[in-house]
Amino acid sequence: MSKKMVRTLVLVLVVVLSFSMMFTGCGAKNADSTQSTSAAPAASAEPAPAVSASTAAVEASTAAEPTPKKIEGTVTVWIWDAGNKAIDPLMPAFKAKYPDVDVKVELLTNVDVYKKMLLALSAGEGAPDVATYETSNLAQVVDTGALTDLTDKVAPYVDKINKFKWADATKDGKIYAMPWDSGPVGLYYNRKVFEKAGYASDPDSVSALLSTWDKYYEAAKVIKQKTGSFILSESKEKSSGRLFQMMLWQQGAWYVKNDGSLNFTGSEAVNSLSYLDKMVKEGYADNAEEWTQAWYDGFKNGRVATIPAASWMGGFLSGWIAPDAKGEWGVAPLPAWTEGGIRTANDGGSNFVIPAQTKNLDAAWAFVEYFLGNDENQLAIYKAADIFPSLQSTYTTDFFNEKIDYFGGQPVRKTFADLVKQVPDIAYTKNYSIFNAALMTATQKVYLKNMKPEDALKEAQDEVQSKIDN
Amino acid sequence: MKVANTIRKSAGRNIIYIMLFVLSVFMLIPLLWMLSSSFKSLDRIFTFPPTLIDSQSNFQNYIELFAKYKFYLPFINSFYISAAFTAGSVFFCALAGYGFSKYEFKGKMLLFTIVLGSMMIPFETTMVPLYSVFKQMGWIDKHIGLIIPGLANAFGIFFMKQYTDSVSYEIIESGRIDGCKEFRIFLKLILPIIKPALASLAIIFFMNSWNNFLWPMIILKSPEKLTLAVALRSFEQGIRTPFNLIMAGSVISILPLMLVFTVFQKQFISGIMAGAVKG
Amino acid sequence: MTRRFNLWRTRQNAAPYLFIAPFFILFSIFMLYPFVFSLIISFAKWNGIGKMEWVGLLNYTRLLKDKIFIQTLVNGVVEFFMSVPVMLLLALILAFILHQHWVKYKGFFRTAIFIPNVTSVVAVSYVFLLAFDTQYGLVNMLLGLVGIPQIQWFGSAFAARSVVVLLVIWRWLGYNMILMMSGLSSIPRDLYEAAYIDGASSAKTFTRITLPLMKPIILFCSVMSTMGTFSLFTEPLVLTNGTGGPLNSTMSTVLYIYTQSFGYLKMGYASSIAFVYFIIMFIFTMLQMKVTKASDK
Repeated sequence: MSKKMVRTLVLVLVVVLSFSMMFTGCGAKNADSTQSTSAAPAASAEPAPAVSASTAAVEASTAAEPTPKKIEGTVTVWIWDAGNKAIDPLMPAFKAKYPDVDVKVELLTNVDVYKKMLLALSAGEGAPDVATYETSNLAQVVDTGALTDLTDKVAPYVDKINKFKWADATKDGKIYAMPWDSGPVGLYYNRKVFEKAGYASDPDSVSALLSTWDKYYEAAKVIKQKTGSFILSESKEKSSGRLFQMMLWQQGAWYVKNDGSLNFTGSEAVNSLSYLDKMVKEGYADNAEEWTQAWYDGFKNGRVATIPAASWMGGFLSGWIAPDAKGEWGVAPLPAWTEGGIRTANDGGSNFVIPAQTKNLDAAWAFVEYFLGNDENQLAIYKAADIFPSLQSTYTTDFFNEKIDYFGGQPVRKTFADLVKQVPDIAYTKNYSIFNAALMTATQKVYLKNMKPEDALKEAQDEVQSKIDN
Repeated sequence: MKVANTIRKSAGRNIIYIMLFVLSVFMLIPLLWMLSSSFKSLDRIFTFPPTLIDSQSNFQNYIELFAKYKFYLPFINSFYISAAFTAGSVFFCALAGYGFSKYEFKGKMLLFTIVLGSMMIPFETTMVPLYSVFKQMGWIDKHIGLIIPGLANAFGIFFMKQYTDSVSYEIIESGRIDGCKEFRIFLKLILPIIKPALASLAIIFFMNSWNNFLWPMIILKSPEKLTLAVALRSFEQGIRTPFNLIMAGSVISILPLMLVFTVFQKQFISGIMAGAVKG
Repeated sequence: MTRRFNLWRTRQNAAPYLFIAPFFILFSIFMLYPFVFSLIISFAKWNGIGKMEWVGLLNYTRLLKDKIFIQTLVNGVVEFFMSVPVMLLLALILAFILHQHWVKYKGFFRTAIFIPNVTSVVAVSYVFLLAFDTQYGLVNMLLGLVGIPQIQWFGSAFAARSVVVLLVIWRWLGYNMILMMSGLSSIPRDLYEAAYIDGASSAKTFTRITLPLMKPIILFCSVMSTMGTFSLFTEPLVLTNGTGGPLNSTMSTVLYIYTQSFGYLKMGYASSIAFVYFIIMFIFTMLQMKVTKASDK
């Protein structure tokens, strides 16, 4: 290019840059102004009850029970299919209680919720009134500061909900989410395979048999030898890291320590990965990627004898993975690392959040509280979609003691209710996705390239360190 | 000698036919699998040995798509959005291509370089600020936002410029002598001549708009406003993805494109042929 | 007369600017502004929502040391060499064959080979994901029938890249073939006739006449394919669930930008990657134009 052209190009660039500075200013200002206008309705919500109190008084005379203060407006909810299946049957009752609230449900995949949420929060507009967030992604969105502070609203529930659920919802002492469900982890086991291997297959016996991971390893040998089945599933190429994470969690450890320093090279992490590597290399793990047909078939065909998984797995197992296997499965606690250690962890769980942009805070909270803060409704959700309530007050109901045919008459709900009480207080933390991605690469290095677990974890830690420093 | 040569020739030709056929089969297999899966229920898609059509194949997936999920709505949306986008886009690209091709003006080189350069901006980077722009314009959850921005299409301009380069200048000269305004020349004289290129570009643009999924997914919210690609994507669950429905939906979305291509094949190919001559 | 002429001249002078104006207006609003904005935030630390924190060149210095980013560049280059030469050669041969007058059913073959390009990338990526599953995929089943042991398609960098490359070739072969066909049809018949008269064999005709005259087209296809290889997004996203294949071997630059921005909320860093990517692509294109110009002479 000629000198003249270069000069013109620079001139153009300068002009455009200054032009866009103007725009940036506009954009930022607009974002601020929208946020301040959405703060205003929250302020004006205070005087409103004075007006609606009289309306409520009028309505109270006709209603059998005291009517809640007049809650109205449109509440847009972002949720995915599994969650929607759970709340849809309860909508008529909600509409009856809050006739002036119009609920608009938008079905999205979880990935799309996070994507669109980022854009909406960034633009200052377009966020829903209520959004579903998995606990693994919760801390990240809480950290943005763009959610409504729900500390006062959830106060009556803090003691009624599993303690560890609040960890990711909290920032600087304030709470920004309402927990929905928890994922207490247990060990699903195939009774028939265990019997074939010569073991007693009732939950208590299996629990004692597999009380530590060392004993689990011994059982793996026997099962392989006597039945040809693998004791668990772990993909060499595409491990999700789920099992590793459960092992960390039950040891009260995580990718980070409480002081914020990384813990990839701690003894818990190294032991866990080494253990899994041993299982994989010695041939006790079925090489199937999670959530693929091969993985499901492993459970259906008895090729895999146990599934360390959360409470929600039960519904999948009986619902569509192995629906014909009535009576063939049972649930025991997870093996512990040392005799008497903790035999459970948490895997998954969701929450509702209310973005600060909402113009209908009262209606949005009414929605959230109705479904998640209410014993009856949480139970109904559990019944409908096998979503394990984090609301502890539900655990004492008969529903939990029910003997489940599919699990050979074992009241598995109670098993999980007992386990959930022991779940260590660990948070996923806001950098969870970075941790998990680095771990996946580490597992590939160990399983496929035979790298030593401590080396692979060290490399993962270094990689993560540089990412989160900035 | 001549006979042997002829036999060798026809044997060679037969081999070529076989190779072409095998290749075509390979190209079509994934689509055939898609088609066959669209007639199966979820658990039957993964059976071995895989069957194309078996006794259990039925239209259940299609029925479910239309009855339960109202799949005709996104279909209509995709259709008119793609049509509007194609019409507008082809027109403006032809116009700009004509401008770059048949005129000499100050800054032409620089401006054309900018056009080419714009093709290198990865969409993912511009998403966040672009969303801001859309929000300021009030274009969230409106179809117009899917039509207007794309009218600036560098590839289309490049393509049309190449093609228009081969149009002889005499026509323009005679138009000017006749006293026609510049725009009129373009409309009445040039457009008819470059029809094949317009047809090719139209097909490409229609396809792209039809299959476009990322941005519509971000912008569109109301269920009745979704396009096909977005609607299809919403079936994904992460766990137990209903591949049967996705395959059926994919077949539905491919059919119009295949139809358009088969019908317009000749124009399409001749357009591409001439358009890319100078590279 | 002069006034009329001046008006006529003005119209003529103004016309090109007016014709290309729509593009530049739209471009400025919907591409340039966001891009410059993104360039600006590449000098900052930003999660997309809160305040921006200026950090100068920090993102860029981090980029130079970022093993994964460098890996994406390596992946692009490797995938380029794995896919482009094979595809372009095949496209050329196919174009040549289908150009011959004695071939029947041209329409069928053309359609069949081109159809993959018409399909939705997402749907097809899923088909390939399922087909190349280690235990249940069609490919391993078919290989098994011929006695070949199960290949772990996502167990090694080479295998995983092969799947991506196969998907790309499947999709773009027809497109490149048609471009080549256009190049072939632009070669004047008389050149071939002259060669025939001179007694040249088909092989010689191919190498001495066809190939050199096809250079511009081949180069055009080559550069478009290079850019395509680095901007692969949907294919690795679906095939590896966004993780970038075993040990980041299938992570593409654009996919990396996406994970940094939408996954980790590191908008500033993502923008710096995007800008470097832009520079690289720009250089490639400029190179191509130079080489094309040189070979024209």
